[in-house]
Amino acid sequence: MLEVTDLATAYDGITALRGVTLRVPTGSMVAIVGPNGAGKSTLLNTISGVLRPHAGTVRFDGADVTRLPAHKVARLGLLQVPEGRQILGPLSVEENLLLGRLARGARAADGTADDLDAVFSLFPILAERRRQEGGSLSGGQQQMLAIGRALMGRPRLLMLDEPSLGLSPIMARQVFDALATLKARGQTILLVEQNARRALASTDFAYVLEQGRIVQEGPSAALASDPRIISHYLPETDLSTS
Amino acid sequence: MTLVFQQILNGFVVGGTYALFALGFTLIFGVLHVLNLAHGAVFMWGAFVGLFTVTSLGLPLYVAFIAAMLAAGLISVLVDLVAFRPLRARGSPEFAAIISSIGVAQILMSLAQIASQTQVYRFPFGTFPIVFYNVLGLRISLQQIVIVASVVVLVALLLGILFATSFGRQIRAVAISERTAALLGISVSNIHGLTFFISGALAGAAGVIIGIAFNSVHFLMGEPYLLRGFVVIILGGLGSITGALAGGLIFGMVQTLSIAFLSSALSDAILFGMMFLILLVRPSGLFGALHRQVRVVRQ
Repeated sequence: MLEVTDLATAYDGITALRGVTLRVPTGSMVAIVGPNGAGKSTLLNTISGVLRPHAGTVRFDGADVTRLPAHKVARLGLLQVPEGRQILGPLSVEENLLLGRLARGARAADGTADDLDAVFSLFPILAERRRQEGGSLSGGQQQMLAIGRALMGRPRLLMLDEPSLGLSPIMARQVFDALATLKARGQTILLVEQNARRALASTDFAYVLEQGRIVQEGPSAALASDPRIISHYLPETDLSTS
Repeated sequence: MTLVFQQILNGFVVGGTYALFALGFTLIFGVLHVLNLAHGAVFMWGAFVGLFTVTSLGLPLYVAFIAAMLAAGLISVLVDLVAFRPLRARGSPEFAAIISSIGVAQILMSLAQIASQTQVYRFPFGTFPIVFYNVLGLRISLQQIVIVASVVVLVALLLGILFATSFGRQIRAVAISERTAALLGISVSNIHGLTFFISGALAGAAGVIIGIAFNSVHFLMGEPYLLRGFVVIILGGLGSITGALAGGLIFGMVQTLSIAFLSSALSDAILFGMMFLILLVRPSGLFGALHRQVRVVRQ
């Protein structure tokens, strides 16, 4: 579904991606793990059209989307849940969700009410808080809102940038449980995550990104038992996991 | 005492037109975070289009009103395309946008000067029936009633668009974060264009109303309004819809009362003194912190 080939992006004059190649097959859940500053967010933002690459291509469903502006990429169903959630704080929970519907564009104009209901059944707390300002939600609730907002656009590929960042372990687990539910429904997902243990446990395939390069790739289970990965990313006492 | 009330009433009417002018001004600041110093020139062109629709085309006033709003809206979109969009694409500082909007304002004024041959035009006698009513000892003209009614309708329309339509949600989303809006599939440049159109249409309506109320339309008429609009949105808080409304009304009343009871020479000194005081005491304006929900500005 998504094919990224030799993608290179410079950001503020610094080369952040140095020829990244990866693919996300339909129906799979793929992780990108790597340390802070490896270029993970840059990669997602380049795929999304927020940043312009200086080399390489991004193909989505066979179509070249490399130089498409961000809003057109989103309308194709290639939706990103950005790092830090980026909830529109002064807008209500419901308004945030309704804005998410725009990305659906020309795809499937039917069943308007059903989408809201589907999001509310996945995240019941959002139904309770629907009239509240998005900015008044807790971090975990905001992450749910951000995911729900993207789901409103009926993503063909859902990209998530550090969905567990800054969340309590309980909240992080809830978010990952929701992702597992989506995966079980056949949602294609590309997950960027610093918490490698959690990412490898919940995905089919993973890429390791370091200093703008893919240094390793393979089935998530295989990577999770790879000695190099264990020593670098899965320390015995990982304080961020519990 | 009746005189005071009469002046407060007159000030309220004048203030309504200031508010109409300032709403478009504050809307652009709220969404794009730039001051559009061509707003006065757009307003002036609105007045001219309204005038020519009545005088040259012989159409009724309400048609002129709509024509002025549409034309001023389109001119405003043009201002965006020429003065703001190229700079935004290059990531130029906000200061550059202020300068380029001054440039576009000068061009628009020169064109109006040529088109009007530097003359002051008036709406033909009888464009608006001169009727007065006596209510509780106050003299109210039909014109004043229509002005207040149009302001109320347009403000209601603006609030309706901003807070009850998908376009309004998109405008507020862009005001908060352009990047997040784009990731949601919102075309940020289209929303900028729409914002400029709404802003210009409001200015065009204000242009016709003021052209009729003061029975004078000329190529320089936008400049004093730009300056006053500036005071109004600083009073109310930059980017605040409620603030522009309240600021406009306060400005109109203070101006009218100071002209009536002090001197017309002093009124500007009082108004701009008021602006300095607000900047010192409450730099975010009277409604800066309060009415957050009726605010389009990014945080």
